[in-house]
Amino acid sequence: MGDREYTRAAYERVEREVTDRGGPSTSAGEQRHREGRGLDPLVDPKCHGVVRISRTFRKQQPDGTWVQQKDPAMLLETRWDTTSSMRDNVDIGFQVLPRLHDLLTKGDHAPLRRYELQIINSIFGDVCDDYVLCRTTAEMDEKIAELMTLMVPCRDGGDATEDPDYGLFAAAYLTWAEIVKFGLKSYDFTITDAPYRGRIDYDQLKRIFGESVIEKVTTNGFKMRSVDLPTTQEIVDDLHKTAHAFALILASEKGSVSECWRELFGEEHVVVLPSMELLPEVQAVIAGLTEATLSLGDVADFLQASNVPKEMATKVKRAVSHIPLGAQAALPNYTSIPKKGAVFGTKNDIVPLDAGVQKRAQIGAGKSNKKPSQWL
Amino acid sequence: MEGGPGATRRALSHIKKSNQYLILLPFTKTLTNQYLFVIKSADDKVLSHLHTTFYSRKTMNETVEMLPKKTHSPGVGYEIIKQIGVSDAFTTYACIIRRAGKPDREGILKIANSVAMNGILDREADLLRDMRFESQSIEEEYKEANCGKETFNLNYHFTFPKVQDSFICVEQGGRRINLLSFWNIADTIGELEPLSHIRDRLGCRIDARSSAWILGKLLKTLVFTHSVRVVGVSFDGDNILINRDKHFVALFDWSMAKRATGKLDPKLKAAEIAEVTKSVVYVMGFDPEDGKIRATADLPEEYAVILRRLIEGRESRAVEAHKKFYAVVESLWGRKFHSFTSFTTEKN
Repeated sequence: MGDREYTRAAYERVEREVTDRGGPSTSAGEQRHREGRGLDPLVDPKCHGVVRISRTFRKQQPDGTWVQQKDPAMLLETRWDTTSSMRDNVDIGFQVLPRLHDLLTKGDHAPLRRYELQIINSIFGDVCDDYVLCRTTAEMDEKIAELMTLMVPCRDGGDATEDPDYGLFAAAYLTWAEIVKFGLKSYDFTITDAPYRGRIDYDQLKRIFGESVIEKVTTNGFKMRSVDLPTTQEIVDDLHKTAHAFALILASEKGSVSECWRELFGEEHVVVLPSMELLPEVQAVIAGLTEATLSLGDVADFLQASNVPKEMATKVKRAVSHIPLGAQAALPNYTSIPKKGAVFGTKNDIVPLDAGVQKRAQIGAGKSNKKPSQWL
Repeated sequence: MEGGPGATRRALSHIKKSNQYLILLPFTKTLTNQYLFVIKSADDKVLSHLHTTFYSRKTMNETVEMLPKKTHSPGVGYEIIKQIGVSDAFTTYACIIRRAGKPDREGILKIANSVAMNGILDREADLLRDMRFESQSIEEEYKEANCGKETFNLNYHFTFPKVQDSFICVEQGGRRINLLSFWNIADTIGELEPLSHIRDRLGCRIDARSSAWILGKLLKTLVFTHSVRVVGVSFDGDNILINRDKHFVALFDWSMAKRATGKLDPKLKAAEIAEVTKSVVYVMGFDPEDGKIRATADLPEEYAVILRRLIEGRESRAVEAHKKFYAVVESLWGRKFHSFTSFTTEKN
């Protein structure tokens, strides 16, 4: 974490490096693998403390207090299936990153403009692959793009069932997001065209996250024993407590895949993607509808402003119209999360020292100048 | 006020800080680069005008982007008459809807009970708007396909309310309000009554021929909703509104309706056909759950047979159900207009 920011110029620098290297966007990571050096620690789930942390940068003042330097950090994790027909997903994800970032943070209706967006990208294959899961740290600047280039996607078929379960496990139990401590939820997207396994295996857990995985989970605040691991359904139920989690299923797949993910995530949290090319738009619309910065009536205009053709904009709107609208805005602390400039007693405090003053100011700002003559 | 782009931006910046908003209008047709801003207060009172000149569309567009966004359509207002219903998610009022330059008319105001329920009304408004657009498209296609032939209007849009406005009301704690109207089928809210009230509140039952036009229109509604894959609307008698005199039928609340993602399950379609039939059979004085619909003096056996068939879920295609139903109705009574007829239940 720090005071760096994502810029288009910084992303383009990374993009030029990828182009100069030649090959797919992950050629750096894949080359490292071919050389026998394994995953880069920055994308290895067992490295960097295992637990991925998203927090806002605070700076200590001479009087010992800590001042929040930016708007509150909002974590968004995207989990990509990179097997078989989805093999190019990470390349697509790399190419559309600037569009995703702009849609989420720029413009009047940008869903996440009141936060500092921090992104984790992860890719999964299945347990037969060299790497079941790659998972970046939470980043807010061009490192988002840099870390994607270090991943090693499967790009192969494997067995028909994939193993996103370990990525879901990481999201539920090996993530610490400050926004959750403030009473809101982060965002989590799984993109796939295949069913999930339904269970996790302790040996695979240790293979992916290291020998101390259970200890890391319990240190992160969850109770777990190696002999009594949660099912994938239990994992997703726990994930829903801390994240607005969605499964995005490619439209071209068989209906049975969507159905199994609906059973796992709930019907309201599964979206059939009209087109992979529109993934950033779909993610942005989902975030906008969840934050209530967009209403359903705004979606078509929002998308057409991003040069999405009208017919496709209508398809996207229909694809997302069933999700829990305004779910973030309905949370009790939605209007009272600490903003840039909030002062805290310690680096890890959740409640600012001036919480009462801030709350009164926010309540005052939201209050209409005109008292309603009739409360309905 | 008058001014060029610089003065305009300063004025807009000042207006943006206050509780005002603007409407941008072309000033005259002959002077295409002149524009008129009408500045209004939050309660739609005109405060002043700003004449300005933009010499390029780019400049004009950049300035327009600065305009404060009002939370609802300019010129649409409401005045509450009385509360008419409350559910877990929203409260419903009869109201007067005001539209700029048009006569005030009665409508329905739905307000979310809390911010958490805003999404339900958002979804309802969006679906109703989409359905109106779709019904118009179907009407146009139908007319084209039957060009030169004598046809009736399909008028699917008569069966659901029109969204006059849907907005987040800051004054009401950020809750969403839907302003809805049934102006196609009734001049006042009082002309519409829930179907179930005929039996539950008035202690009456309707005759077979009255039930025929009501059920016929409901089956026609299902032809439309199933064709556009909308399911989940309640066909309970409380949610079916009828205009006795003008023979109109509409469904009141669409907040639980949704667009199905794939093909509709035939069982689901059959269940909806059964549900509408049961609601009508109930106000005919029967118990729809026991299936005992007996032929009587005014209820021919053929009509009882088709009603039983629909209730038992033996028709899963609304088009077929509608066709078969009207084949029976026309064979029995023709297409003659029959005034709404009801009896007190002592007359059974």
